[in-house]
Amino acid sequence: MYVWRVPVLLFAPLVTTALLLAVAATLLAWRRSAAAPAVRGALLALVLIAHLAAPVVTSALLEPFLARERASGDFIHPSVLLLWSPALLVPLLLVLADRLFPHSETRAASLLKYRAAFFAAVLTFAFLNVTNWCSPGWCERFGFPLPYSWWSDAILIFDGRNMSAGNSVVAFLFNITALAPVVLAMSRTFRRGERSILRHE
Amino acid sequence: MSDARKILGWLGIAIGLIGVVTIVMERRAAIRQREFLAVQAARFRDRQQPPALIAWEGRTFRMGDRVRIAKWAGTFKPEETRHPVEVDARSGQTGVIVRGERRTSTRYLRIDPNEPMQIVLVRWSPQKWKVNLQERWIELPEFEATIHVSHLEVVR
Repeated sequence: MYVWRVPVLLFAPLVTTALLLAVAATLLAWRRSAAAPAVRGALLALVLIAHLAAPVVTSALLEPFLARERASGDFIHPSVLLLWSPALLVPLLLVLADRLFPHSETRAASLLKYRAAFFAAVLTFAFLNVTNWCSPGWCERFGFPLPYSWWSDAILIFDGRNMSAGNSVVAFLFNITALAPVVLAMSRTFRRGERSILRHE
Repeated sequence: MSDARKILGWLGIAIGLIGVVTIVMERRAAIRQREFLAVQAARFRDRQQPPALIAWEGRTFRMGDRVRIAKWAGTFKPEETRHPVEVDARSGQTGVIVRGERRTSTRYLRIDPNEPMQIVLVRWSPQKWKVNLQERWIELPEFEATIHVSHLEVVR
């Protein structure tokens, strides 16, 4: 079952990740500008609650699809790790954003823009990597820029080797690292702008 | 309290909360699985002991009824007839109802498990069948194949 070309089991965590990222980043930005310790504490608590709610949201997004599958005789039990993946990934992204685009009083608007661009880049990249670039139902080719998992209905076995299906851990790791130069370039541009402002002051 | 203890304390709380949420969600999944298995068991029993009567659009069919195809119902395939050609399920062909069967979902067609039974397994008598897409008739021995009851009429 697909949403456009993305399998539902991957689409739901991706949507939850985007939602949680938006909520957590906004709450943390408010917390930074808040002065009262009670407000800061309350906002941090909300961030934690949002993380705890993430698997419930993913599960709720999946439920209509799972109910349909159950009705037609297939019981699918999504992995706990899959349900928790947004809550595990978002803190990592927030820490990375903090390190790559450090807080700056002089360039608050620019910082917001760069961090938003970083999150958008990561989510777009994740979306490209969970999209089936072949015809869903007939064949699969996952991975961007390199395919890491593929099969085709046109089963071709040659010399005992299935030529129409396979997967590659190397391609998967390459795909993850392929985002790094883009992100590092963004970070460098941001820091250069920051340095030039400080020089002019 | 030292920083290390504080961090350990927060880590413990986080792990505890993650555990509670996970247990609650897994319990819900277990309840759904129990319900699913109960439905599957009911379906299995239904298949083992099909109802003696099938009612469809105001008509009733019983096990052992002699039936005749009332309108063209596609073709019977080689895996059903054990003959290498497809034959037309055209009007006039006769057989005896063996039992009712439930339609099952495929990758392309989702079937509501609660839909009324509407397919029957018929033991088709030895008779002549027209070969699909050819003007040729062949004599086939008895075979069993399913058919939708909307294509059948009971021979009284």
